[in-house]
Amino acid sequence: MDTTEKFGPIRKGLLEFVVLEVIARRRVYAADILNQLKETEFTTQEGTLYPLLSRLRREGFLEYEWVESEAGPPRKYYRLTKKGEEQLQTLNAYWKHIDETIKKLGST
Amino acid sequence: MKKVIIINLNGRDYKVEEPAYDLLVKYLNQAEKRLHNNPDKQEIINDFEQAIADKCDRYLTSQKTVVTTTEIEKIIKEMGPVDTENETATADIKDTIHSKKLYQIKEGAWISGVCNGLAAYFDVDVTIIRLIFVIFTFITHGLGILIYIIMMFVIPWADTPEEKAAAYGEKFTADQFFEKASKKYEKFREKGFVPSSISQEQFVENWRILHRFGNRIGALAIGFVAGIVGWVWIASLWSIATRGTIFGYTLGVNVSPWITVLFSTSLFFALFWPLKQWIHSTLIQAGVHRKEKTDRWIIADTLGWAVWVTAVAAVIGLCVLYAPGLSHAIMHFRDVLTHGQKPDEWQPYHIHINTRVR
Repeated sequence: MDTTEKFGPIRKGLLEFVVLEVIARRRVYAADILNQLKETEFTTQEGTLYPLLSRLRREGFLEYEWVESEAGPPRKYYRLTKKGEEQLQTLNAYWKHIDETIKKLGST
Repeated sequence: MKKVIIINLNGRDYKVEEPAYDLLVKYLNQAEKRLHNNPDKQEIINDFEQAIADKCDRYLTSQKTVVTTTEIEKIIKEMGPVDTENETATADIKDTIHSKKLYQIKEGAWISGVCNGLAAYFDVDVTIIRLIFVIFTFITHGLGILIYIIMMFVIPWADTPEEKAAAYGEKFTADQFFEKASKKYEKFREKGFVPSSISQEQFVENWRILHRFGNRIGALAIGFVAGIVGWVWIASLWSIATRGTIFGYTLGVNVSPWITVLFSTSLFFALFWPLKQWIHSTLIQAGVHRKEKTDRWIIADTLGWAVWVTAVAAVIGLCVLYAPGLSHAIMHFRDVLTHGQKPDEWQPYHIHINTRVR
């Protein structure tokens, strides 16, 4: 099994974290999220993203508004809620903590 | 030239080739299935349809208005399978139910399903439970029956798949749980009351079973009595034929045996016919006999009652005519009971009417 495969579960678990980061940077449509992630290790598909966005919204981390576009149907425009920003901070702190833990375990 | 199907994706119409249509149907059905437990199911499906529509737009121009099968295949591959593994929030709801509960099980039950349910709970063969029950009833002179009836009313039936699984202590999957939940909700809405473990329906059903069973037992008892009556009659005929008396009793000294036969037979019919009718009506209530409405049966029934009236009249008439003989027999019977005399040792009974010397 090569590295990419081995880290599959890790990337999967981090997807939520990553999506929140993307939305935090600026407001986005679902398609934008997919586009941004496409060039990274966290590339994903609609089949995965839409249920995830739905759940994050249920948990209160996201909200969306319908934005009209000239040549098409209205689309969901996502942004983080206050709770979502706090959650992101918590995840970031935890991520840094794990990083340090791993470093510490490796060095001694 | 290929067949084209027009579909509605989130409110807009798209023309796709027929095989492409089949692929889309399959994809969306699978999505629905995987989102079965999801409260946002419909919204997510709409999002999918919109995404598919957007991707279709990329392949359409004013000149090319139909999406081909190959293109749809690409689109579906891009979309990817519906992945609900990130759904940690709903994991609690999906918990499997793994405890064993005592239920009555109707499938393959003899009466109500009590023994069946007990067998499932204790993980033993049904026949063993039934045997234990019967033997226990014998030992305790019938207490087992009372216990059985109590159980029949108290232990609920396993109706839904989830309950049936719990009756055997098997693990149960989330899909079935949600099916059960939605079914229960439907029932609640339809019937207007909350289905508890012993609902009105089940209570009435219990009574019907007991009623039918009791009626069968009743019919059996009456049949037993009728049988004895018949047996005594045959024996009396035999007694008349061999000794000219009914077990040693006679109506009178010079009474013709035929009169005796008439008496015995009339008495038999007078007792037997009502019993037979009683058995029949009891068995109708038990659901064993049908209520007959054919002309033939009505004629036979009416005739039977007419004969019964005649028989009763004959018995009464003969009693009056041969009163002394009968009263002899009755008084002698009394002697048999008090002094233990055998019928054939009967001595002429001395009547002391009007022979008292003043």
